[in-house]
Amino acid sequence: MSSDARAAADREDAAPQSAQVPVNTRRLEIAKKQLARNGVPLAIVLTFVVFSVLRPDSFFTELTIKSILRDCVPLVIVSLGITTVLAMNDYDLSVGGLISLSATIVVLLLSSAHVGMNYIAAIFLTIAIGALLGLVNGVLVAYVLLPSFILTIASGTFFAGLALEIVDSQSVFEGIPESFIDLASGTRFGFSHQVYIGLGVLILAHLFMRHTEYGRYMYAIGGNPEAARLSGVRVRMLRATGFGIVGATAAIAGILINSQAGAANPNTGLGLLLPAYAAAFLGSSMFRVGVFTPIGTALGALYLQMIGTGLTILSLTGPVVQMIQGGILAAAVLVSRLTRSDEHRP
Amino acid sequence: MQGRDTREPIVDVRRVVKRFPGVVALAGVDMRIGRGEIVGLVGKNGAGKSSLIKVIAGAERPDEGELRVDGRPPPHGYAPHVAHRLGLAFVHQELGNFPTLSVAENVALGTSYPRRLRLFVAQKELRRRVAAVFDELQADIDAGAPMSELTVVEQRLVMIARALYHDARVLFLDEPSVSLTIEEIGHLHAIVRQLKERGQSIVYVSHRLNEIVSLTDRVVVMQDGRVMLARATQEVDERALVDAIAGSRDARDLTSSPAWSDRPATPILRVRELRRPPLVHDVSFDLHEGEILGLAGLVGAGRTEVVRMLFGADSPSGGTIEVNGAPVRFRSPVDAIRRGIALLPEDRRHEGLVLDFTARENITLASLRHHRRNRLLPFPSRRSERMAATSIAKRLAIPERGVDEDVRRLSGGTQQKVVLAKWLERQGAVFIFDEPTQGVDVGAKAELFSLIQELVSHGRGAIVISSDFAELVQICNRVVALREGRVSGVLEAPNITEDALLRLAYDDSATPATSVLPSRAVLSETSS
Repeated sequence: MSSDARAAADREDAAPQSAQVPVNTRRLEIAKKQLARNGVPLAIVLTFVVFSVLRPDSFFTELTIKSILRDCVPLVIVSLGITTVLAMNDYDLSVGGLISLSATIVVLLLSSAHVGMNYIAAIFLTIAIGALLGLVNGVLVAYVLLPSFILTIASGTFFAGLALEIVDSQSVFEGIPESFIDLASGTRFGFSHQVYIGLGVLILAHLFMRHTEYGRYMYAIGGNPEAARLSGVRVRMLRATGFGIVGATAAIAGILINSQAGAANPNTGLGLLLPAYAAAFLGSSMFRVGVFTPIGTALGALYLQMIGTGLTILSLTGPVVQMIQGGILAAAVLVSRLTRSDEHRP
Repeated sequence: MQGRDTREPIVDVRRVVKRFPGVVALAGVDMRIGRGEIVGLVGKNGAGKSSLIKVIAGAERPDEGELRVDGRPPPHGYAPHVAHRLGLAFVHQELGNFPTLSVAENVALGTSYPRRLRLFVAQKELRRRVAAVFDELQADIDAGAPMSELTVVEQRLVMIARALYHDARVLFLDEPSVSLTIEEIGHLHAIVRQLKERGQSIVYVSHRLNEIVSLTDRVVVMQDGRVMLARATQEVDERALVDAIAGSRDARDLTSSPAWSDRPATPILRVRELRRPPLVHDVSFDLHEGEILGLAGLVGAGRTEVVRMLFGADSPSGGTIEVNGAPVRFRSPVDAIRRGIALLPEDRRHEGLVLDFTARENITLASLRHHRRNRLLPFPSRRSERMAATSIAKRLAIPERGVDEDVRRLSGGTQQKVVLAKWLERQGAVFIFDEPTQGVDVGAKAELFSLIQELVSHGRGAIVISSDFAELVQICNRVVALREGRVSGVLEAPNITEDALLRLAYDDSATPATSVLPSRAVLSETSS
């Protein structure tokens, strides 16, 4: 009771809110809610229709659609990784650097001019290294209690620098086996291998986040870490694990990007950082608003890729594409805010 | 009340009634605060002190009656910032200060700082002005020091200085002496007396009756939303105050729960000399099978801190805990849960529930492993979860629709049941309830009590913390009273009375518990 008094007396605006909401306002609320919940799927369909109408010969073609599906995969995978940390209210901004670093590592391991490892072994080793580096971030955040935002900026910068350093800021072309390039470029049943890999990761992520105990615990941590802890959830362990997952997905994304390029470019990852967050936030404005879900995230990433490809086909330049993507993210956040605002009323 | 003030009171509360859903917080309260007097305000938790202060502060609007400041009704749209402008200042126990700013900046916050070139804060001038206030208070505090370097008492003085700097005429000090040492309290009292000399008025809220008696001019005792006693302090003594606080209500003639006699040899929980300064110093007690043990005490007596240690949420700096005769060391709640200890925290919104989860998800959060489709794989079966949640919801009378509803949308009583359901699902051995009835309506309260009673009938034990001692009298077999981190007495049914608990909980040092209640207070061997 006395703590209430303090809180209330501290509050500057204690003007009582009327409980009666006019019918019109309520209708508006419902409309807002619907818009927020279905905004992104609706926007995907609308955008698709608009591009198809504007460029029926170049956009609405099997080739373009397949290439959108293929090209979005690295983004989808990284975004799925950060979805796990976002669900726990953490941030991992090191993904850009991690992608670059693991992309460089895998090529060095594979290239006959360097280590010359078996390509399956190289891939798994790279994923393991990525997961380990992510886990280092995670341990520092969850056990040493460093703020994840700033720590991962720091470690991401370090990883990006390390990627450049180990190849002397050069791209590596020579000695890359065909089998590795085939990983991304090869097709099966008409679709790139990448599409199947992306789908596989999506299914795993969905099962993990939405159907296992650990996923449930992660959402509980995001909702109320103290309540989760007092319910016996291993909060620190799971937070650290989330960063490990990010590391593994960043490594997979890096591998795919380089497999597609057939070379290691130590700068590959940096451009994916912001789109990955954009995808996750776009996705969180679907279904249960404000909840990061793997399927929502994947749709968000798909949408960003579609816009990117579509705008390129419309002959818009890279910078304009970026501006439009930024605008879309701002709009999505705004829309999901509309429904959240009612929770802050007394 | 006394009509002794010839001058007009600054604050005049007349027949104020304030109702909240299901409870009358203020049932026609009168209170006057005259110029240059120290008014003590005492009463149990929930007696209505906070509501009264909220009304005066403009944080709550009275349903009936009126508030006058300087003989006039307060301006339309009365709110805390208006109260502040009228010269009413509220200094809370939890210090609302800004640790990264300097002391001077804290003191002057909210006024316009002195400027240089109309733009830059003139730090020197600001410090000089603030230092002048400290001089008046005879407080030796460096106005230029960062706030974070100050001790608790210094911070409290800064808050008082802040009120003076803002030209406050009436200071409401809410439990200003909590967690201060005796010397510090002496210093605080000297300052309060000095303020009075200067013509300031002080409303001093405290649970410590000896300081009320020694410091104040007038004392107002509240109980159940009414003023039970309002008199010049010299006309009363601590004894009379305790009587007024407890109330002599024959109507509420609650008998404590009996029917618990043969105590098993090994307690399910044995606590010895548990310590975690500064709030818990030396606490020992046992909990037996089938027992409901109450922990009584005032806010800050260390009740919550004790149970958090029992649950592994905080680690003790000394002492031992034994579960079923085996010593345990809990490094985290995970360990305690494994030993069958369940905590229903006081602040359920912040510690008990994930508000964005459904009731079902909350109920199964601590026991999700039991719902695996396959024992070896971590995939919970929603069907199994729903069945368990629904059946437990039925047992606790949680509305069926509520199970799949976000907990955020459920009522306080239902939310509390969801927290309970979570632990019932888990099948614990020791259930700890920290203020289980807070924000729960009367009907739900009775239900909750019978659930607790049913719970312990199956070889379990429960520890209940409540600030409403009448509740403890009603349901506990034994009550351990804490005062300032130490056990001040242990009462056993049927000798538990609200009156005795109040005496043990309040700082009634002139009359130690044993001598007041030789026949009632059974000091157990554990409190030595």
